[in-house]
Amino acid sequence: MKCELCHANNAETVLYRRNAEGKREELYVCHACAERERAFEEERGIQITAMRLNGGAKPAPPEEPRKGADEAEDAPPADEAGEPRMMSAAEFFGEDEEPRKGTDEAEDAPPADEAGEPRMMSAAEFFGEDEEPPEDPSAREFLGLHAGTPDDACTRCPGCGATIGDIRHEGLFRCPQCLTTFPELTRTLLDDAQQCSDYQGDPAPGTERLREIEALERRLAEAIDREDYLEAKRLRAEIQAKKGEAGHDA
Amino acid sequence: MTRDTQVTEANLRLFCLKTQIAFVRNVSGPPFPAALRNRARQILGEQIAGDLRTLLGAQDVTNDDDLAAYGAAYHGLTPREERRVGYRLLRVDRTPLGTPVWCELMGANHCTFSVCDTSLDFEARTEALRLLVDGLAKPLRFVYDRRLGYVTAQPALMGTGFRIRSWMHLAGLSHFGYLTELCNAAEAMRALAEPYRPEDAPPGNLMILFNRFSMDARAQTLAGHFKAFLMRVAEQETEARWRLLHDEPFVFVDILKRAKAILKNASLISADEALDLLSDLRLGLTCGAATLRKADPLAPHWFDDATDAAFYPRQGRALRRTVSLPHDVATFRPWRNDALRAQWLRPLAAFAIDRDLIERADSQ
Repeated sequence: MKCELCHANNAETVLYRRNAEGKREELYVCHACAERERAFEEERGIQITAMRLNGGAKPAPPEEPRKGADEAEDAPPADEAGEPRMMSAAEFFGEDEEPRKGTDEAEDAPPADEAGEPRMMSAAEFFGEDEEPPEDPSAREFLGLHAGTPDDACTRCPGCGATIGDIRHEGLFRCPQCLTTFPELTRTLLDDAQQCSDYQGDPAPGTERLREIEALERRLAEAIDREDYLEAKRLRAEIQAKKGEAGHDA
Repeated sequence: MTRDTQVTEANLRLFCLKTQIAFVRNVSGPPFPAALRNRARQILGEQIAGDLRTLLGAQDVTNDDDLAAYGAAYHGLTPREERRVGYRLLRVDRTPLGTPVWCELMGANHCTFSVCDTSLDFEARTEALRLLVDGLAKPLRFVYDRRLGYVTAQPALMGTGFRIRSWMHLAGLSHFGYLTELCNAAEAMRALAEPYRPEDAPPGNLMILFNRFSMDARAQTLAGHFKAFLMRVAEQETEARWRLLHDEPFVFVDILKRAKAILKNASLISADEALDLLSDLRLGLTCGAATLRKADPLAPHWFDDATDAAFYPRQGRALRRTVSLPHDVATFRPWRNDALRAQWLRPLAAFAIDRDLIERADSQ
């Protein structure tokens, strides 16, 4: 089963969260996506209620814990309404393993806000204030420093819903909007297939006029730069005449 | 090796069996076929087929079984087994090109306009077909981007959407084992060669050569580049045949004698074997090493009709009415076709080998 967020890696854990409408969601995701979601939980208003690690296999659906059994201890913590809530570090790691002050574990403890609840680390806190964020793209992606940029693995084409993985797997675009949604991928595929990514063929019917108008506008700009206003006036009249012609624009 | 352009072009007519020129377009609006379900592909294909019938006076021949069988061999159309849901085939008879223009809707909104014939005037025919297709741009609204050209699902066809394919008979280069070098040279010259198997010669020594790029120049210019590449191939093939005729007459005579014996005596000839025999006969005729009066094996349809898909609808069905076959092959289809094919090819065994060639072979 593939991760439901990136659709590239295998699903290794389950993520429980509340979306913006307050509804509880259950997502089967890979570790990288889970960590990224945790890192941005506060920014996005997502409450990560529990994470179950299941060694890479498809996690089983949550079961009701039986009292007195080990499963009861492993069950996700619930709030007063019985809905799963976010675990604290102490709950996740165990009461006995609370970091002791003055040791390395204290320094490694997750940062807490004023209420003592864990909060998201900044990049500077994670790597130390003296260090710059990593240059490695996978590390930056893990920290979410490039989340939401074009050609992201999570981005879906608004026209057909395809992802980069879908297009790479098939070697085919699924709709014209894929080319503008994934510009880097488009350029790469065209360079591989045709060693060229700029069209130099016949213009489509009706676009010859647009090409001529663009050429006239370039000449107009050059005439203005060299202060040849008579030529600029003549070119402007020619441009307006061309724009007034009927024609088909693709 | 001859570099005379006229000689090379004349030889190119002997080596180039047929050429298909095609333009690929996608109608704007819906996604590409890969993103559509079968029902949507079918409905969209029917709509666009209806528009083409109205705009071009095209005839819908999708359900023509015989054409589905031999269309791939004769016209370079999609074989029946590769046709997906929503496939439509239309034929436009009245065109400025003088030959039918085929419109294939591969599924949903993916359209291929093609023409296939023996003409070597690639540039003029390319321009004529392009103007015909551009006339449909406004009513059908093809997907077009000023930076990328005509947009299709396949990156290799983006830009002009232009694809030109030639079927070449390269018996000389195949005999000397130069087909791999041909494939490598094609890539360096903006073309690609479709090999059958890298280690074996293709049946009938037929290679399909096609253009590699469709974005960096006008379609007419791409056709000119492709023809220049074919001229270079024709030069090499001429040289190879010359060497075979003058340096290896004993081998050449052996090739022709074997072909003559099999054509005269075989009761069953498979499609691949038929292509090889036709290749040997065509090699001998084009080099002047053989003569045949009552048939013209240089006509390209001999290769087309010999294939499994095209043989029975084109030749076998008529022969079946006149030729009596043994009961064990009459109903068993592979053997029935092979037996009929042997009957069909038998008249070609009447060719005569050139006496001078035999004498040179004997004295070698």
